Amino acid sequence: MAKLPKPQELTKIDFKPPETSWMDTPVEFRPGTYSYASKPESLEMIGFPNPRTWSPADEDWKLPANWQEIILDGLRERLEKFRSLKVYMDICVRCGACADKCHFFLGSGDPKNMPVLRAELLRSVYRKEYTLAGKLMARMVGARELTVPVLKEWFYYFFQCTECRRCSLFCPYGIDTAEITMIGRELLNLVGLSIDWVMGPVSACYMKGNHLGIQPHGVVDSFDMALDDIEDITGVRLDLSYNRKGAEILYVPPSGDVFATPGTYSLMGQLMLFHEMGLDYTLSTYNSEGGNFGLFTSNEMMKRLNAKIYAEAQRLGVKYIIGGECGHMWRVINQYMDTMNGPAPSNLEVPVNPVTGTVFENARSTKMIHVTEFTADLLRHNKVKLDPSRNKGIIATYHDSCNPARAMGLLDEPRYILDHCVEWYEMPEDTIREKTFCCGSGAGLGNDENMEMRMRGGFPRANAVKYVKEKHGVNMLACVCAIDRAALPALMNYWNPGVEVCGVHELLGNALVMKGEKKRTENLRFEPLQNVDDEEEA
Amino acid sequence: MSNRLNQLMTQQHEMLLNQWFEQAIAAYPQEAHKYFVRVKNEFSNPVGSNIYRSMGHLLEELSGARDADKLYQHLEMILKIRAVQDMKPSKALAFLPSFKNLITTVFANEIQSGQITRAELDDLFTDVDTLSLIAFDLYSESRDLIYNLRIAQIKEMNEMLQKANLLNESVDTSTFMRCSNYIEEEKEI
Repeated sequence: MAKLPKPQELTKIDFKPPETSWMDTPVEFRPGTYSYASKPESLEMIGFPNPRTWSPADEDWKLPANWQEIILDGLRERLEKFRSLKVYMDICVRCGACADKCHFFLGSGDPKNMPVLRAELLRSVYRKEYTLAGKLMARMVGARELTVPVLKEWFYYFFQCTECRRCSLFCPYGIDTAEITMIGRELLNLVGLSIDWVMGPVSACYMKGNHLGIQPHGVVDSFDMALDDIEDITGVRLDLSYNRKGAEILYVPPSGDVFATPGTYSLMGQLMLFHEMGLDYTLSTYNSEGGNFGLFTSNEMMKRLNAKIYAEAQRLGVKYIIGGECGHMWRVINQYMDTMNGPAPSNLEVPVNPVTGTVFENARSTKMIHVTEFTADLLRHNKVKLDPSRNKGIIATYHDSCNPARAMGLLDEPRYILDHCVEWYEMPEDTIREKTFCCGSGAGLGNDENMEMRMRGGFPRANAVKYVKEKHGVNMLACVCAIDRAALPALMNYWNPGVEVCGVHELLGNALVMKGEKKRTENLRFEPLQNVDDEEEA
Repeated sequence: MSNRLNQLMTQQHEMLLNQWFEQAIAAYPQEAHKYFVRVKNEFSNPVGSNIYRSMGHLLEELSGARDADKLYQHLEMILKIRAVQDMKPSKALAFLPSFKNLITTVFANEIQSGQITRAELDDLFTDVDTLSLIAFDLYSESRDLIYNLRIAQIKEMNEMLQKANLLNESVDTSTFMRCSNYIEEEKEI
């Protein structure tokens, strides 16, 4: 007969470090902590290997017979191709500077979420295969064979990294752990291991130009709905153009803002501003997505999906491109597009704001600017009439979306816009700007089945929001990323009920005074404005 | 509530809290355990700092007025954190019943000598039992919330796809215009 443990014993059971070392402790796929496997049709659509129906919880992952050879050859090829990978594999001294910087480690306490150890999952195999010490003294130098449990561990942890790059910021050697995750995922893809929330959008985007797989007429329908709403709220009917050749600017939003709230409100704000400024721009129904889930798949896939931006800009003959409030899109554009699909087509010019004359020197190479750069420039030159009282009742804070903050240094423009539109407060220092905490749902992890993991990973961010909520009564979390807008509402509902999520241009749209508008009584969410009483008193 | 046990608990607050926290935090792997105990910055160490702070408030209440609303409020954060972490509910909640053991161990002499009466102990332990039941509610509510958030997301996605007529399986997606082809065709023209 087994004796019942005492409560104080219960806290410790199973949780002291396992008897085996980290290298020999297999992962457990418990529902809520992993994402569903990619569907065979998604892989077939883009010509990826080993399409089949499988689940991470299955014992047999239906791998090709020579899977080890495929992965090791793939690793060798990439080590030769990417000097950075070779350096990252060799240079880490395991100083631990990154160890406590990952939101998944901070939220879970799982040591394999420490970036150094996550990278070690790949490094251990690298050492065994490609270093003399690893071949001779495997265990002593932290080298190990690539086995099925190791492969499962790769899958578990490389799909528990949001590629946010907070850890990289603190690495004294500049190791980009996100790039290690990217290579890890790329290798996994060689044997057909990926997740549905990544490969579904990738194949949809490849076929139809956006992650949701909405056809061109559906894209137009969605914009029409936004225009109807804008007309109901402001009395002004906007006129959009699609695929118009000869327009000055091509505007590329993340599709999340076209199809889903609260992103749609932010999109409405941008469309209203463009109208008010008389911008000569067009939308593409074929390039209806700025986001690029190829980044979470492989270099080649990222390149294939990104190609359509320059292709459409060339086909339509525009002068430059404005990109919407998207997150990872900007890592691709700012750090990879130029070398992947550049140089930019010859019809593109260095972006110049037609209203202010500002030349965006920072985009001299890519010919593409972030919409908040454009708007902040307009505000700087007093070109926009605003009535911030329409945002009365909203007390905001600003979440630096990881990729715009860390991959392109977009830190002050969104803040400048908020300064003009709304009462807002910063979160504590170590949680903002380039040190921002991730939403916990990026890089394809924002699916519903992974909800528990998302709440864990998003806790450091939510904890900082909680602080300003309690200190300043913050009730709105503004950001410049469509994945944030999709993921943060759930995070706030769990940790900080009462805090809503918006894009910065939603707040700008609320405050924007338009020519010929009717008396505004509702904000872009059709909620009554709270400044009405003030106006009546006045 | 001004009894000897409460006085002793208040006097020994720091020591009791540290030992109790140590028990609760033993639920995490060694590397995390060290970090959760050592790092004091509440934003760099949200798990450790929130649990420590909440346990401190709980201990204060248990040593004093034992206000039901306050106890509930301080328990909430701990259970919310534990409901999304890799641990079974029994382990997530074990820090509460283990508090009784902590008290009987720390104050063994005072209990032996009769300084702390049986009635005082029973009273505290009954309240701790009640707290364990409330913690069970809070844990379950948090788990329910996670499932509800999942359902909400599925519903939203469904609505979006339905609007775009992408849930109708009879639609032959192979006939969809391939944007990459479209661009190629345009180039040829």
